[in-house]
Amino acid sequence: MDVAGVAEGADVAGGAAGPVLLEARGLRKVYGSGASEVRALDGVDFALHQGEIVVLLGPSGSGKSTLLNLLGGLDIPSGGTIRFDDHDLTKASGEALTRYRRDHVGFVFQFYNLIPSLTARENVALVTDIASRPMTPEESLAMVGLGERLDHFPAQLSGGEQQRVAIARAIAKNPQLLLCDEPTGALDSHTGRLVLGAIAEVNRRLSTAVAVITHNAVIAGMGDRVISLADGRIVSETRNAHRLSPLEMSW
Amino acid sequence: MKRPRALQVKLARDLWAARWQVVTIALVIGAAISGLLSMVGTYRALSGSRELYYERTDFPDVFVHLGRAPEAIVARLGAIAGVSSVASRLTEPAVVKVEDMEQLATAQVLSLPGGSQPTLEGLVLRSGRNVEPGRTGEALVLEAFATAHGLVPGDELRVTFGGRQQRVRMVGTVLSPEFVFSMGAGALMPDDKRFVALFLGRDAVEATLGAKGTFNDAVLRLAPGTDAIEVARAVDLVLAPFGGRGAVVREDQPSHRFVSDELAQLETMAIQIPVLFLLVGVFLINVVLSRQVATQREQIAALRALGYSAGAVARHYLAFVVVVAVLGSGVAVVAGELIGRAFCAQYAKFFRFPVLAWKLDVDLVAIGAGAAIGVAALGALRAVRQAASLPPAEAMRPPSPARYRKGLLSRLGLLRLVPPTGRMVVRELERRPLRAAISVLGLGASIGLVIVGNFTRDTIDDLMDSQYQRAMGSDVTVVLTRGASLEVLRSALALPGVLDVEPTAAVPVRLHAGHRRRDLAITGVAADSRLRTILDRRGRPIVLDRRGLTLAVAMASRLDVRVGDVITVERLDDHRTRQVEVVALSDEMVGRTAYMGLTELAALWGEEPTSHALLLQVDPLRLGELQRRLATLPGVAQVAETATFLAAFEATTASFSLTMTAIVLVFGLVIAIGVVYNNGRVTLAERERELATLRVLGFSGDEVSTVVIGEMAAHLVVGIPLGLWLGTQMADAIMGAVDAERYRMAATISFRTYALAALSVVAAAAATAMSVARRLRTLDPSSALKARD
Ligand SMILES: Nc1ncnc2c1ncn2[C@@H]1O[C@H](COP(=O)(O)OP(=O)(O)O)[C@@H](O)[C@H]1O
Ligand SMILES: [Mg+2]
Repeated sequence: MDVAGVAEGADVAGGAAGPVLLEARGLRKVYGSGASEVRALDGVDFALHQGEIVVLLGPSGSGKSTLLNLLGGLDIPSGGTIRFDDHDLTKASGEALTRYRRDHVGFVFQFYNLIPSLTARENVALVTDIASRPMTPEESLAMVGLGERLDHFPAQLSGGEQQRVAIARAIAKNPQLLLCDEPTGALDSHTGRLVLGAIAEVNRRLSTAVAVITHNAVIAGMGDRVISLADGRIVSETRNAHRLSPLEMSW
Repeated sequence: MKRPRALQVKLARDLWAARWQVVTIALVIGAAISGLLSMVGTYRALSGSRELYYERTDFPDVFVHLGRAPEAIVARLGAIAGVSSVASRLTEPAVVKVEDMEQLATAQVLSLPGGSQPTLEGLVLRSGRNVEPGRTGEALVLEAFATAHGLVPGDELRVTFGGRQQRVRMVGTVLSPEFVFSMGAGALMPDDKRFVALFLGRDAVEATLGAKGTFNDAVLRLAPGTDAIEVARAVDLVLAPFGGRGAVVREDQPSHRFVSDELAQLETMAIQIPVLFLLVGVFLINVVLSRQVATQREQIAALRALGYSAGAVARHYLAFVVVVAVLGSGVAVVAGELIGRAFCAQYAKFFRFPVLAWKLDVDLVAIGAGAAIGVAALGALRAVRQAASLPPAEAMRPPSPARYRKGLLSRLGLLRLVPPTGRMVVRELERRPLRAAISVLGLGASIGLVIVGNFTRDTIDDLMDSQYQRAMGSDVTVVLTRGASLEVLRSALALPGVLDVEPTAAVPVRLHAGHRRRDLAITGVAADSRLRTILDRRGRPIVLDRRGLTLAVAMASRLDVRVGDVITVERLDDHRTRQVEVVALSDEMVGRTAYMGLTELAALWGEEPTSHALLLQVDPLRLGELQRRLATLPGVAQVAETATFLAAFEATTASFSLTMTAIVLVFGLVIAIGVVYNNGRVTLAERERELATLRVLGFSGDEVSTVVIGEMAAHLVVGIPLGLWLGTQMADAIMGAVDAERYRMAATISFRTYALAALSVVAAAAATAMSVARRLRTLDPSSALKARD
């Protein structure tokens, strides 16, 4: 299969959304060396447009997290380029990557990664303390439906609530990019739908570009585009005629 | 009010969550720095007071005693290059009888400077007034003696010197820089009740001694930059015809030397103890912060992903230990102030300075706080570096299981003998040998400290036993005003209560061995002595029946001579010389000691045996009667009672060592608790899931606790012998700071001290380990198995 061709097609087909925000070409990531070498990503071309939701689908170990980490500036690729606006992330210093994450990217992780010693409000404040144009923690938490639980510690919140705090924390900086790695992986389906609903709501209200990783095919319906990965390569890309609301999905 | 940043809130909550760890480590650091502050502060107070005192009284640079010389010779001393002034004087040993004490006090009479117009030059008047010119019956008295006996100006003393007894009126009390630390001849510790220096007008002393126009003692002040040793040589040349006893430079002046020795000891401890503590502090911070960072791996990753820089993360964890260090410094300032005050108060009992003011200097506090923060940062280095360099992406995955391998014990098959929980202990030790080693070292250090706090007592007890009760069999020593023929023995036996009597002689000499020389007095002791036993290094008695000299070990090593070597002995009064063989080495506490048989010593100079002092064995019930009788005899220069001497010695040293013991014991326990608690908490945190799994598998709470307690016990098993060794080394180093020639006290450590040190630390460790292990028993097996958040 012509992977590059598929990716190029995606570029053209992305007309429905805004201009290209983030673009990766020939992305490779190799862990280890010699006999224990793992090719986690093996030549991936990928673009993310302003305002769209892309669902990255693939079995465990297919390289989804690796791709997301590279796009979010958490890691450096072994080969290929990533461009954000006019910046080449592959050539950026650690400092510049920190600034990139601070100003432009919001992360949502499978295990929430909240700071257990901080309340919901304080967890969000971690971001608003350092971002350049943040909303207030209260606004951000209200947006994910947690306006009432500002002063609860993570241990006093359910899994779904914790993940919504994580989303609030990710969006409080008004990011251009929201990267979610298996956001529902640790949640039951009802709670998972609530969390995905919050993400879709953020995309609708702030026109943030969203990439959602999942190994759950049902979730693919919420995306404008669905990209499937296997063994570090993109194996298919489909465009949904219309996005499903997470509330309409069931698994 | 500005809202604190979220990261600061996290810091505060992390500190609170780890509060007992924070407190115990802050205490260890606080103990270290308070030790530094109090000891260096005391050092500064002592040396500063001395400096000021010397400046104010223009303390002389060279001291010399001689037979007697015409006053005209003073000009020749003044003409020596570099000498800026000379003050001649007359001085004589004396005994003093005071109302409130049956025994005689030992005294030294000194003439005041200024000739017939006495001045207070070189003294500090504390009460009353100076002696009036022309009045012979007046004296100034050392303040400590007056205070000890409740004497006030106007009171009378009965003083015997130069073979004459007289009444003098105390008109004032003084301090003298020559008697900052004042002891009678042959004493080991100051005894304010039984030793005094008396200052009389020159005319009065001249009249008593029949010494008009002569002097027998001089002090010289030198121009800045003059070599005192050179001047001392020149002085010796000038005074050789007049029985010069060898000029002494300031460094060898007894009082000055004693203070210097104490300062040297203080300096040793001021470095040793804090360094030991700080090492333990570095270790604790390292262990605790490394654990903190490992536990917060996912949190650090999240912070990095949210846009916090590596530097911000590093600063966050560094701030954690800086808070600990600042807390520790706060403890140190308060404790250091209290301990320093206590130290200075104790020293004020020994060292008579006009002012001995404790002051905590700002620069010292800054150094202390700087050291605390530096040490905290050093301890944090590894963990902070780990936190900062943690790749944010990598940290998203849970850590892989810690790597264990079969260590030596396992490979030897020894572990098969051990139950599984025991194996977990052994594997943990094998896996983290450095951490185990440092924990062992910390426990060892605390045991060592308790020993350091207690060994002075043992050393003194030992001294009481061996040096005095064994080596000095006599009850009373009577020093005569001048050498007497052995006929005196018969009259001494006739004194009330005297059961046995022996003569001793003292001949001031200079020993020459190659280019080395030392001044001392050879003590002549009866060859078949019953009252004075001289012991060799193995504690066996030395019989002085052989021709030749028995030298103290320290003196032999200073002169670099061995048994069998021949050395030159020069008499200081007439400068005749003899060649004498060294025949034995004796174990002495006071290093400047040499013995010969009494008749042998006299024969060496072609003289009849004489006695300068008498050793008496006395019926204890008639001691008082004897004392009263001796007080009336003009031929008696000094009376020393072994028992009261020992009691006084014990009393003075005991109060000092008690303060020290208490402080160091607390310090030692602070370390032990700090090490055990933090190690225990970290082990618990690291292995919570593992231990909970054991519970699920059916192990009881007690069985699971053995994993944590067993680890601590293993550390203790190695730490105890190490600590006993370490304590012994430190004690030796502290005693070694004292010049062996003047004062040799080998550190003695009793079984009781070793036991106390080991047991107190074991008790503290056990109590702490229990409190940690209690958490294990309440551990909910199922909760620990859930995924962590
Ligand atoms: N830090 C790493 N070191 C070694 N191998 C890694 C590392 N991270 C990921 N891998 C490997 O790379 C491959 C892709 O991993 P990942 O991107 O996490 O997959 P996914 O998120 O799709 O499950 C897997 O085979 C994984 O084992
Ligand atoms: Mg993944």
